[in-house]
Parts: sequence; structure tokens; C-alpha cells
Amino acid sequence: MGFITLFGTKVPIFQQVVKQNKQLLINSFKLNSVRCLSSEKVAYKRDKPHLNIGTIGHVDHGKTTLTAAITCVLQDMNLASAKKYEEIDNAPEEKKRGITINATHIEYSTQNRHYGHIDCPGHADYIKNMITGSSQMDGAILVVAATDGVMPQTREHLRLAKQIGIENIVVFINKADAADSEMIELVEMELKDLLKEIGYDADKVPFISGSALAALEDKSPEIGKNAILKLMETVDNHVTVPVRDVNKPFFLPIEHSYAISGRGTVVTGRVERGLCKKGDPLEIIGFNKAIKTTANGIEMFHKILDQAEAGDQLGILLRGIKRDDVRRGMALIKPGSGKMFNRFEAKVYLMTKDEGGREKPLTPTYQPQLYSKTWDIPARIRFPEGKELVMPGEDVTITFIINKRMMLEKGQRFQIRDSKTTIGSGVVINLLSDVSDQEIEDMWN
Amino acid sequence: MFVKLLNQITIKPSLVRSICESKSLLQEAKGSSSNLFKLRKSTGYALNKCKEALEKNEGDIEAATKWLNEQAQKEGWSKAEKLKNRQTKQGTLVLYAEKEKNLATLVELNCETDFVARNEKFLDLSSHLAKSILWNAPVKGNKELIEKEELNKIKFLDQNKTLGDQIALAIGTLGENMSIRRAVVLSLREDEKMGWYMHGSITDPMNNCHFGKYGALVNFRLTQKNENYKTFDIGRQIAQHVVGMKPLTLGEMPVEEVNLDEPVKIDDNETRLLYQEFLMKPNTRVLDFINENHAKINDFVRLECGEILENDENK
Repeated sequence: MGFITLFGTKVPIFQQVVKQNKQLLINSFKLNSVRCLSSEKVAYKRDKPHLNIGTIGHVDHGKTTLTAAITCVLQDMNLASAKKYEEIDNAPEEKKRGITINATHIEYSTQNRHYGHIDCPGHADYIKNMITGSSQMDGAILVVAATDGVMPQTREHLRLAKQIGIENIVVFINKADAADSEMIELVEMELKDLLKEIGYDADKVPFISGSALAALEDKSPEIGKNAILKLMETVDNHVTVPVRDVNKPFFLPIEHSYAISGRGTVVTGRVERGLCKKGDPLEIIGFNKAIKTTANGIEMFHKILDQAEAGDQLGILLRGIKRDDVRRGMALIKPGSGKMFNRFEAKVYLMTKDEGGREKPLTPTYQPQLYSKTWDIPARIRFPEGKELVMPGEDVTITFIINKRMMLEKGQRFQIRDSKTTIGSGVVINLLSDVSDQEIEDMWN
Repeated sequence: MFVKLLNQITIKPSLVRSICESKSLLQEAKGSSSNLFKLRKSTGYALNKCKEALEKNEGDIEAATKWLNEQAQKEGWSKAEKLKNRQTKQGTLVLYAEKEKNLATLVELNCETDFVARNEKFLDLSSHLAKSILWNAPVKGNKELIEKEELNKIKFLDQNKTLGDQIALAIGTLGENMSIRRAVVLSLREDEKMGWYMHGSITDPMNNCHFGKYGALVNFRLTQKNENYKTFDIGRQIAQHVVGMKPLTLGEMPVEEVNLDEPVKIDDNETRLLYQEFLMKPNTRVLDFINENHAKINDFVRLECGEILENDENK
């Protein structure tokens, strides 16, 4: 492999070329759009950060009209292809109910971002998606009609947004064409009270008023087109891009370990996030053990790599580690970047029989096996106060106790299985103090 | 705009006081906005309706409120007519019982989205509907299943209108189609006990109502005093079992004495309540549990919110 020298460090040539290409792509497609000139599929260009954005708000307040207006206004700037109201409203995804609903079917770009539009079909559906991880909103536009004010769904959607951790909300006060300035002012006050009540910092939530209908019909530009542009500019500035996996601390869930005579132990797996260079200090944690080590070498496809990156499937040679020290399911991490727990709280969705789950409800005596990353481990469950049954198709917060301490993080997903099938999914919402080894032993005997 | 402002200046002194006292954001706002805001806050009707009401009644809040309430019923019916084809698959069950009367009712109220189904206003409505049904529905037998058409005609609380009127009014204010689907009223004799379980655990302490997606009522009787469990807990455990295991029929008690030492074979697909595996105690049948506790089950009812019924499919 060839190397070129750059600032005194050796960089493999192929990486350099990739970097130059990326730059080129960014330069030449600054104003990229999704063009549908022919029936051929257009390649998706990854030149702008992608975010999922949802419109939330009461029925008939103009969520769909606003989405149509956004695509329509952005089409004029070659940043989207306009969608009619009917196209959005009648999309089959909206009618289907299942585990992978509300797939993104509308997309648009601004000068800086690429957005996928997510719909909010129902509270239970959205919670289910959040738990299974099938789609996530990075931010939301709350639509409220100035003619109506805050309505029941406005409140419940906002509650849901808070519950699932959407921090970035932009408010669009719609139907400004049918209201006067006092009404808009009143709606804004009502919303500020509501935002505060639900736990948002109301003073930091931007408000834009306008008329999605006027934008769609190309009338009164000040409340039509310009309001939409202002809205998208606000969304661009207000909704933060999630941190890319590469920039997070190194983490590789261990899939296999091999003893290589004369060299030591190699662990393999797919790098979930971060970077690791040869010589970096590392830590192996899981199954109650924590061992310090160093990356002695990195290999992919039997070739030596200088650096492991998020997404790579590779092997790492570890210094001073015996084969018996490591096993599948442990985490190889940047030292100190992860912690082990044996008790945690999770939001769980129990699948219905039609989705492949159980027919019977769960009772507190149920003993599941949990699967996450590359590990699986037996667990005991504790229901919240007052809950005695969990029905299939229901979501619930459960405290889990696992019989060994494993690396766990907030937001980590897992599957719940009994002997034969997956019966549900969960997402960790709270890490709790450890249960003592004695108590664990008592629970398991 | 300015003329309107002038109109507002001549409002009643009592209103001026209440505006001054209000600590809301409105302190900086103009007089007219406050009036509109006050009306909106006290009535909860849509902003444009409140505005119209104030304009029609020259800023008089009392008159405007009266006008709004009159309009609301009309608007409710027209909105209900407009939305009547929208599907209502979400909603809630509500359970309400009065011990003195030995009556309990389980009611299903539907709406379009589960967002509205969680809203306080919707739950409040369902509490009132359940109360009305328990008070005003004609009950002849031990167990009465009342269908939609009948329900809509029942008198609302002690007011001069029907449940249908009240639902139409709610459609107007909540903005979603709604319907009351069915209700079951259980009437107990002196020696009978009621076991109940509502899966969902939202309660309305004000009205003593319980909400949830699944609900069961069990009519049972104790043949002798029980020492293991409180009467309430026996009923609750059976009702929980009914919710979880979906029995279709009660089944006959076996004639012969059951030998408890001999392990019984339990069919996983059993639909007779007495012969199902008891949810709370693996490897035990429901009939073993009630025998142990000197209980007899007379009847039970299980409702699931939004469940598909055979009759619906035929339609």
C-alpha cells in the first residue's frame, strides 16, 4: 500500500483520494436537489446532513397543507419536488398500521440540510416506533391554527414529543390569513403557557406565523411563501444535527475472540462508533469484568489498518489478554467511556400475536432472556407500582435485573425473548444502582 | 381595530378588576385581547368562535358565553354530521359502579386518534356518560348489553338532553368524530359480589371512574368466609384473569370431586373460563382456585376497546 506524507504523518493514499472526492462532491452539489426527470431512480446524494422532521398538531390545523406548501416553495428553488395535498394525505403508509409504519415518503432540502418528513399517526404507534427504533424525529414543527388555538391534539402531541425526547420544537401558527394580529398574539401566549406546562423552555421556542394555504396558492407572499422560507430557515438554525457516530468515543461490541499463537488474542466485531488507532489504550467490560488493554494491531480483510472507524467490520489484536479473559458480548471501549449495570429501567413494547409475539399477557413472574448488541442474558422483571399485567400490543416501563453486570447506556435497544421467539423490544431509559451479588443469587435460585 | 378598542374600554368594572388581578402573560396585552382570552379560557371554544361571539354581543362576556353555548350544540350536530364517516377505532373503556345500588357499568366510547383518547376532556366526557348510563338506563335483567342506538337516547345526567346531544357537543369542541359503541350494565343480587379489573390504571377520582383498554366484570359469590384473600382480591384476580386470558364462556363445574394431588392437564387453547390455566398461578385451573377459596362464579363480561365483533364483520 502506498503512503503519502502530510504534516509529518503518513496517510494511506486511498484515504486521501476519498477525502478529495468528498470535497468535490460538496462543491459541485451545493444546490443539489432530487430531480425526477425520468422514471429512472436518481441516486441519493449524501452531501448535506440528513434529519428527520415531523409535523405535529391538531387534526385540520394544516399539517398536511404545510408539508405540501414546504415542498412547493422549495421546489421553486430546486430543492424539492412539490407534492400535492392528496399525495401526502393518501400515502398508503399513513393508513397502514404495523411495526414499521410512518416510513419517510416525503423529502426536501434547504440550502444546508436534507430533511425526511415523518408523520405522526398515533401515540401508541409512535411510542412503538421509538422503542423498536424504526424511525426517530430529530425535531418537530408544531402546527396550530390561529383560528382555533390550542386543541386537545395539540396538547397530546406536544406531550408525546416531550416524552420521546424531542428537544427542538418550532411552532408554526397557521391560517394567519383568516385571523388578525390579536388572535395570533393570543395563540402565541396560549402556546407559551402550554409549552411551559409540558416542560419546554417556552422563551427559546421560535414562533413563525403564516398561511400554508396562501403559500400553496401563491398568494400574499408575506404570510405565504416568505413565511414558509422563514420557517425552514428557523428549522435549519434551531434543530441541531445529531452527533455523528465517528465523533463519539470508540465502542466495539465483541462478536468473537480468537487465540493466535505467538501473538495474543484477537477480538472481532463491527465498530459501532468512534475511532481507534494502533497503540490506543482500550478497556474490555461486561459480565462483571473490566480489563485494561491496548490495541496492538488492527486488521480488516487480512490487511493491516492504521485506524478502525465506525462501521468497519474488523479484528483488533489486544495486548496482554488471554483468550479466557474475553467472550462474546463484552464491550471493547475507550477506557472510561462506558459503565456496567445490572439494574435498569426500560420502555418496552410487547408485540401482539399478529406481530409474532405472545397471546398471553406478561405477569411479574415472567423470566425473559434479553438480547442486545452481541450479548444475551437472563433477566427478572419488576412492573411499576399498580401494574399487574402487560397485554400484548401494549407499551410499559419495566425495571429489569440481569444476572451479570453489562455495559449499558441510555437509549440502548434490546430484544426480549422467551425460549422460542422474540416477544418484544425495549429501550433503556434509566440506569439504576446495582443489585448486590447476594440478591442476584437469591433471585436466581 | 381602533373602534373595537374603544368598545372594549367601556367594559364592566368587575372585568377590569379581574384583568388587573390576572398574573398571566396577558398583563401587557390590550383590553380587547384580554376579553377574547378570558372568553376563550373560560369556555374553551375555538378562538374565531369566541371572537365572533364578542363581536355579536358588543364585548359583553356573559352574553357572549351564553351565545357560544347555544351555538355549540348546533355546531356540534353539524360537525358531527360532517365527520360521521370518519372511522372511530380508538377510544377508551370506562368503568363506573355504585355499591349501594349494586350496579356497575362498563362503557366503550370511541374517537379517531389515541391522542384524543388520552385527553382529559375526552375522559371527563366518558365519566359523565358512564354515570348517566348507570343512573338512567332501563335495566331489566342481571346483565344488560345496550347497543349504540339505544345509548344515544339515554338522558344525560340530570339534564334535559340525551347522550347523543352531549357527544355531538364534544365532537364540536374536540374536533374529532366520536361515538358511544356499547355498554354493559351488571345488576347484583344481595348475596352476589362484584369483581372488577380495568387494564390501564387511569382513574378519575372526582367521578370515581376507571379508564382503560381492557375491562372485565365478574359476578361471584362466596360460600364461606375466606381466610387467604380479601373478597375484593378474589374478584380482582378472576377479573384480571378474564382480561388476560380472553375466556369466551364460563363452562360447567365438574360433577365429581377434584383430586388436587393429581396433576391436571390444561389445554392452552381452552376458552371456558373455569378450565383455563389460572393466570396468577401456573399449573392451576381457575376452578381449582375458586374451589380453594370457596367462591362460585355466576357470570362475567369482558370488553376490549376497539375489538372487532362478529356482528361488525357481518355488516
